[in-house]
Amino acid sequence: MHELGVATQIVNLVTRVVEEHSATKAGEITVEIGVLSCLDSASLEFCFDAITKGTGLESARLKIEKIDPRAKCRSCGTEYTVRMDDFRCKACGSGDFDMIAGREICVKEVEVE
Amino acid sequence: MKKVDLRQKVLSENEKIAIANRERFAEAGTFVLNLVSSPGSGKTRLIEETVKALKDDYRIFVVTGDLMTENDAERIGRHGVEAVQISTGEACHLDARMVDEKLLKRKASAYDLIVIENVGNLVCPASFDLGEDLKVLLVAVGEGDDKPVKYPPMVRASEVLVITKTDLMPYTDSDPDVIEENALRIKPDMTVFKTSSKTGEGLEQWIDWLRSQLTAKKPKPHKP
Ligand SMILES: Nc1nc2c(ncn2[C@@H]2O[C@H](COP(=O)(O)OP(=O)(O)O)[C@@H](O)[C@H]2O)c(=O)[nH]1
Ligand SMILES: [Mg+2]
Ligand SMILES: [Zn+2]
Repeated sequence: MHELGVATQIVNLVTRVVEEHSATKAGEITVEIGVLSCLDSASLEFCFDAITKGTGLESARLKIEKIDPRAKCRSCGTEYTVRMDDFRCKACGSGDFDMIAGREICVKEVEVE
Repeated sequence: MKKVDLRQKVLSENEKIAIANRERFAEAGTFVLNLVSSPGSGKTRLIEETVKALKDDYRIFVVTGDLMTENDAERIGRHGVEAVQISTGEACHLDARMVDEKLLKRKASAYDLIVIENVGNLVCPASFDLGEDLKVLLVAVGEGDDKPVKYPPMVRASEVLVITKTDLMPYTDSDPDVIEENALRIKPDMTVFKTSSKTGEGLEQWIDWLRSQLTAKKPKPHKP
């Protein structure tokens, strides 16, 4: 439900990048979205298109890359993609792990011209 | 077209305000809980029992969120603690700005404990940090033992699980141990309580734990 807020932040960020590179427009914007961030890709795209319509970023479009939740076991060191119904270590079953991916909302790359 | 490598985290407006809230609470030594659950899992009732047990020793402020009505704040206010309602209208969750606005006229340092009752919803509150110390997830006996598995992001976002309404066990096929196991598979380091606000079962452990958390955050509370 916070897609509009995120879309607004992306627009602000990209607008700044376009200015910094003395460019006039942006093309593809690659955005990484962790599965645990609860952000819905379709509604993020919808919000982004709605707020950029008729602005300098009208030609820009989002390329959304979904990031699976990943963890690193503290007991045996294994890195693994977690199952959403069981986050424990796939190798040794330990519940002592650190999440290393899956919650991010990150602008990875922007095309400018 | 030129590609610009950015790798920049998008920090939402909400996160910025939540960070400011958290700094303010830290400075004041105020311990802040954010209670999340489905509608009707017993958040307001647990807060009522909690303020009854702690109000003589701590200065408590309660913020309750619902789409409509002031009912919950009134229920809690009857116990003689300050309680304000945030009627969100359409919004399905509280955000950091709403909490900030309710606190603006108050000093966080005037309270030892702030309890925020979020809008009943197991999806959105997971993404909206309010600046709290801990999220407390409530799942009631009888609402579906697989609730934690159905809403893993909410479980991941919460540090504490309270399994409520244990007095209902004889009347349902629900098993609190199964709720606990389902949650611990997703978040093994959760602190778990099993309580009944009706019979008082398990409330002592919850209150004792809260007292230890309060002491850790501020060793010497001001008595009201
Ligand atoms: N039997 C029983 N009923 C409870 C318990 N806790 C809450 N309730 C009832 O469940 C309903 C919803 O509780 P409430 O605290 O309003 O839930 P909230 O929507 O999460 O704030 C109310 O009718 C409560 O009286 C409990 O421990 N045992
Ligand atoms: Mg309530
Ligand atoms: Zn392992």
